[in-house]
Amino acid sequence: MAIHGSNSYEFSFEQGSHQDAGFAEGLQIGGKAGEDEGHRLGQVQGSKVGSEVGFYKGFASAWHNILLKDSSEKHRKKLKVLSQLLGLIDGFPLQEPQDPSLQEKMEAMRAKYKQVSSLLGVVPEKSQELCF
Amino acid sequence: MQQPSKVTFLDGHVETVWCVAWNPTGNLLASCSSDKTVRIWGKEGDGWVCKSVLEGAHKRTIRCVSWSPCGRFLASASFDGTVTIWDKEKGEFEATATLEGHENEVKSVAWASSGSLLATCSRDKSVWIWEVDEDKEDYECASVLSTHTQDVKCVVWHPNREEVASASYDNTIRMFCEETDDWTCCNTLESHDSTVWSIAFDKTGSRLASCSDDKTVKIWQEYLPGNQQGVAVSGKREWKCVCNLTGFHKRPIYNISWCAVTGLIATACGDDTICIFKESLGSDVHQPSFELLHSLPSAHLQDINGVNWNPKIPGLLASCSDDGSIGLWQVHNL
Repeated sequence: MAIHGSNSYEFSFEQGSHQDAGFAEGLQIGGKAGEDEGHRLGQVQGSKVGSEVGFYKGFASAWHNILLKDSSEKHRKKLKVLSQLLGLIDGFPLQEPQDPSLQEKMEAMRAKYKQVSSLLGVVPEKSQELCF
Repeated sequence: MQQPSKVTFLDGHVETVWCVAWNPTGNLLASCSSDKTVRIWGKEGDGWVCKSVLEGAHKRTIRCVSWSPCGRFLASASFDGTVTIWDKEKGEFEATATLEGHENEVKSVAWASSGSLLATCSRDKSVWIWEVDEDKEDYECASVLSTHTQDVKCVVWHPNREEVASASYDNTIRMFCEETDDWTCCNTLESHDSTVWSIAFDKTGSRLASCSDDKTVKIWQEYLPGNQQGVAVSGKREWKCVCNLTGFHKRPIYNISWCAVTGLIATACGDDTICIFKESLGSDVHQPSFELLHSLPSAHLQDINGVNWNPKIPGLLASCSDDGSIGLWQVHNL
C-alpha cells in the first residue's frame, strides 16, 4: 500500500522533524521489547540444551554405576562407550552459548547416546522428544 | 560395435525394484522391492529362475540388499527403519537377526570386505558401523556418525581398507575410518551440485566414481602425502575430482557400478537409459578420460534404480526398475 514515503516532498520541515523524533522513540521501545523477547527465547533455548545434556549425564552415570557392580568381562565394551559419552558431556561448553563448536559437540553427544542405547538394548528417546 | 544383448528379463516383483546384488561367486542375484520382498534368482539349465522369495521380515519398502563376502549372509535394509540379516547356512534363507537403531528409513547397507563390519545409513542423517560376531550371530553398534547434514543415500566399503564412504542429499561424499578410539570422518568430497545418489570404488580402491541428481558422473582419485602431482594432503590422504562425465544422461543418475573384472562403469538413470563407460586408451591417471561405450535407451519402461556387474562373468550386467522388472545384459567384445 503506497501512502506517504518518508522522503515525500509533501512533508514540511516540522513534519519531518516529528517523524525523526517518533522514529527515535520507536527504535528505543522496539529495542527494549526485542531485548525482552530475546531474553525469554534465550531462557527457553538454554533450558532445552541444559535439560538434554542433563538427561544424558543422568542416563550415562546411572548405567555406568550399575554396570561397574558387575565385574564380568561382558560389559567392557559398554563401559568403554559409556565413559566416552561421559567425557563428551564433561567437555560440553554449557557455560559458553556462543561457542562455535556447540552444535557439532551436541551432535557428537547425541550420536554417542544412540550408540550406547543400542549396546544396552534400550530404546533411545528421540532428540526432539527430549523437551522437558 | 555390437550392442549389448538382452539375456533375459526377470519378472516376479509386483512393485518398484530398488536394488540388485550379485553374490560373491556370481551365480545368485538378489533383488529387493517396494513389495516388501527379497527375491533370489539363479540359473537353472539355460534359463534364469526365481529360487526363493524372502518375506515377512519388513513392514515397508526394502531399499537395499548386500551379500556378506563369504556369501552366507544377506542383509536387507528397509524403510521400516530396520536391517534384517538372512542366513542360508541351512540351505533356505532364514531371518536370524534384526538391526534396530535408525530413527527412520534405512537407505543402504554394505558389508566390509573382511566380513567383520557392516555399515548402514538412513534418512535420519546418520551412518552406523556394526561389528559382526559371525559365530554368535551378534551385531554390536561400533559407532554412530552424524556428520552429514541431510539424508544419507548410500554407503560403500573400500575394497581392501576398513574405511567406509557415504553419499548424501547434502551433495557431499564422506569417508570414515577408525582413529585411536572411535570412528571419525577423515575426508569430505565436495563437487556435485545436487544429491549424490550412489558411489562405487574401482578394483584397487584408489579411485571412486559417483553419480548424482545433477546428471553427472565424477571420478575421484586418491592422493597420498608427498605425491608428485603436488596435491595438498592434510590427513592420511586426499580425494580429488579428476574427471567429469556430463551430457550423457537427461535425468538424475541413481546408481553406478564399477566392474572389478573389466573396468567398465555402468550407470542407471531416471531417463530409462543405461550407459556403459570405458576408460580411453592411454588415459592419464591424474586427468583420465572416459568414453561412452554403449547407451541402452529404453532399457526399461520406467526409471532405472540399480545396476550391478557380475563379479565373475565378464560383461554380465543386472539392472532393475520402477517398472518392477529386472534385466540381464551381456556386453560383447570385451
